[in-house]
Amino acid sequence: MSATEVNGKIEYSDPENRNALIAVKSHLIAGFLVFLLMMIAGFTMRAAQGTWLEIGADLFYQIMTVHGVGVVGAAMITSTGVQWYFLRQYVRLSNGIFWTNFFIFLTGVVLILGSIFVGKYGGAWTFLFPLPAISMGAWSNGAAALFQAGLLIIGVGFLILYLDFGRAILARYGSLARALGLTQLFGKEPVDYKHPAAVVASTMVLIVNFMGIAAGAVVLVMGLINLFYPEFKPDALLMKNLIYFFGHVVINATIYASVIAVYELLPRYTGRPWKTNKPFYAAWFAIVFMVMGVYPHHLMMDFAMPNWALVVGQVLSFGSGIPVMVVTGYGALMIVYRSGIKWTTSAKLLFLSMFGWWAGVIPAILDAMVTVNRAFHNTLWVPGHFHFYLLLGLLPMLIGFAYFLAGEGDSKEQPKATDKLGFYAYLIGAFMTSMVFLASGASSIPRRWAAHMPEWVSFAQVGTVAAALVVLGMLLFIIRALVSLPGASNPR
Amino acid sequence: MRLKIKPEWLLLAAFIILTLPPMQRFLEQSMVTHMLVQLPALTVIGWIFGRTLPESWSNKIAPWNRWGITGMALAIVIMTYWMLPRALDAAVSEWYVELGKFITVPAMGIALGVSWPQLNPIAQGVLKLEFWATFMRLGWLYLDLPDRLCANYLLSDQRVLGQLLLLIGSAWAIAWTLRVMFGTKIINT
Amino acid sequence: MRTFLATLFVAISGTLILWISTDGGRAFTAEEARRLEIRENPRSVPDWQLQNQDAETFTFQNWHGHLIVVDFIYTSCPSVCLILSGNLKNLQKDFSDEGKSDKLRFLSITFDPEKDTPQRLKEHLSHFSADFKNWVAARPTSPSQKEAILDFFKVIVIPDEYGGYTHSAGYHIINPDGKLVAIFGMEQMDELRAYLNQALEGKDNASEN
Repeated sequence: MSATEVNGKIEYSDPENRNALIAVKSHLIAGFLVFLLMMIAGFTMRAAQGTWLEIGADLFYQIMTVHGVGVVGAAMITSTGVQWYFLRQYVRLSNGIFWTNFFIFLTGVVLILGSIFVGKYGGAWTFLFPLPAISMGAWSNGAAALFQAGLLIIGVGFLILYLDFGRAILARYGSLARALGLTQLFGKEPVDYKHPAAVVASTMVLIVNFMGIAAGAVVLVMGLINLFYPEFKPDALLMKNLIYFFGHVVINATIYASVIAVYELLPRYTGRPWKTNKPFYAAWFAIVFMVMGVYPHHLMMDFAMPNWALVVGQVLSFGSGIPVMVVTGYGALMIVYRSGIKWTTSAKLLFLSMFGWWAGVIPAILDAMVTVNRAFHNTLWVPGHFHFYLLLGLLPMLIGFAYFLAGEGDSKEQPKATDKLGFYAYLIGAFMTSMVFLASGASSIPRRWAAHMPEWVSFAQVGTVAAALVVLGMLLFIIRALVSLPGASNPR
Repeated sequence: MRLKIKPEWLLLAAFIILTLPPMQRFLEQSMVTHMLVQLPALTVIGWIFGRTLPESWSNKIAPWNRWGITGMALAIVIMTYWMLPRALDAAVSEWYVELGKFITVPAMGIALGVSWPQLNPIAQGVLKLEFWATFMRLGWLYLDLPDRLCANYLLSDQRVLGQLLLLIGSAWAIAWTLRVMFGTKIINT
Repeated sequence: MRTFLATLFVAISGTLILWISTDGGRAFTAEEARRLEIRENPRSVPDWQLQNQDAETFTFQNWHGHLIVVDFIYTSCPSVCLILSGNLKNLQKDFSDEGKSDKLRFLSITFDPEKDTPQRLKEHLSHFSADFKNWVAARPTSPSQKEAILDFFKVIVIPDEYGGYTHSAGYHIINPDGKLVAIFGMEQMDELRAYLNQALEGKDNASEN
């Protein structure tokens, strides 16, 4: 295999490319619509806590469940769209499999929506054993089972897609170690600066999500067995470990799938290539283990957890954001520095995502300290942490990519006024949402409470305003996406 | 000097040995050997037999079994049936169920041997993971259940089987990881 | 197309077979299956000869008209049978207060007749301070009778690694007409109590009418 062939891009036929573009756009549009609905759901919950809206506690918990599962699902499907778009340029991927996953995903969504709004399932998206089985009449066993079956089906869909990724990557690079750049890192092969970052990131995402889905496949079925066969009582702590391993890995991996957009797009806007190198490989190699090892920060309040697991959890949580962040953040700064980059909305969003990721680490690290965690983990601090990551880190990458795909990067047009309004409404709203959550957490306001005490209401009201701004910004983005995405041709 | 024995005869001999009542009783007195020795042995015999089917037979089957889908469906049904605890119990207590077992399990092996190589690699991957997950789920289940699943087997037997299933599953996962991470082969195990 | 048809056929018939062989997804283990089967098809109990703790021979026929709760034990049992018999003692106490004891009989059958002589059966009952009036411990009178009894109740007994036995544990209900009508597990004591209450009261009503 000659070097040019290794670094060359894969050629597809024109119909294949057209079909692929439609598929990616479908992923983006479906994902964004779900995001928007989930933001409205979040707004509703904040308004209810702020006493501006009257909804029953059962409905609140149903909304909370759908909000959690919906955002995770939207993040997965959208970031997968981004990842697939770039990965297919380096390894030969199948359109059919990509569509298959999409439709399996939609099937799972229907089941989950049915379980929540028809079956009244409100046991949170983490389906933490044994809560789904003991609803005290709020929902039936069937509803809980339907919810878990929906997740299981979605897992199978992604499994199929990742098997295709794995097949394609192995077909080209022989082993995942080589695709990750480990052979270069450890000196078995000369460093190849053109080894695609998209392949490295995709391999990492593939590995961790495969593990996560495997754990999910086991734990979801064990939960289902418990629903129908209550004599079987699995070890609750083991269940919790597996659930959080599964849940944390899949949501965490979305940001690593989406960051491919930064690696691929910033070079386009600056005209400089993104060079992979040893620190880059080392960072991504480390993150494979860190993403799988950080979940115990959800279990630090479980006194039955062995101490060493908590220590490992704390250390890895401290370290997890750092490697890729430093390499990517530094790389992004260097690539932009004095490059004469044109600040399109897409470029602005990608840069914002870097900031969101960077700054999002701070509340995460605080939460990951065992002593802080014991006081903070059940407060709104934790929603603050993940809203920061998702609203300011993940979503800007995804929306930035959508702008790129809509052809904004190529055309000579300046950003429109609505784009600017959308951008700033979103920026301010997202920042406020996260900060209000963090401030609430610091004031010991608990999370997952449908009704708030009078002294907490003002926090929730500010949060409601912030959420309204996010919804406004997202709405403008989506209108823009719906108008210009469908007709846009593939950016050259 | 090398004895020229056709592989089919060896398979038949192995099958007959397994059906001999003393061998049968020996393997079925424990849940572990029943599920981890006898059933897999019958499957493997079927599998190898399926791989050495005469050309004319495979050609006849082929249009009914494109991409190996029908055969896999058949294998999944048979496998699910023999995973029912009461089916295993019945095989020990009733001679006709036992007879059914000695027919259907090798049949499942044949179906697998014929169909698996034709199956799409992605579908193979999904089924492999599902099979692995079944090992882990059942292992966990056998370890945690307070009661016996099979009336013919001891609780301690069930526990040992659970541990073995988890052990095999873990070893399998490690082997798989090593191959995919560092091996040069495309996902094939 | 032919593949599609064949697969469809396999899938449908396979699902049907699985559905039938689990009694419509209701019984996955042999124990569940035997309980379900008895509930749906009560069976007349043959008239076996048993020997009680006083070495007297009797048959089920002698108890016609009584509601009988049967469990299976062996007296050297270190674990399950003790719980079985303990529960039975509680039942006997509960139902003696309510004046229903006349219509109710408890019968513990041993499946280890060689070791469990009438003498040992008597000791076993006295360990639980059983009221001998309506609780009888008995052994089959011949090996073939033992096999027939175990077969009829579908009780499976296997030797364990300590020289004892592991066996299906439960309470088998025989109605006044001499039919085996229900089986309850040890974990279903509340259901068993409710069932007995209902059966006894139902009979009261019948006799009053």
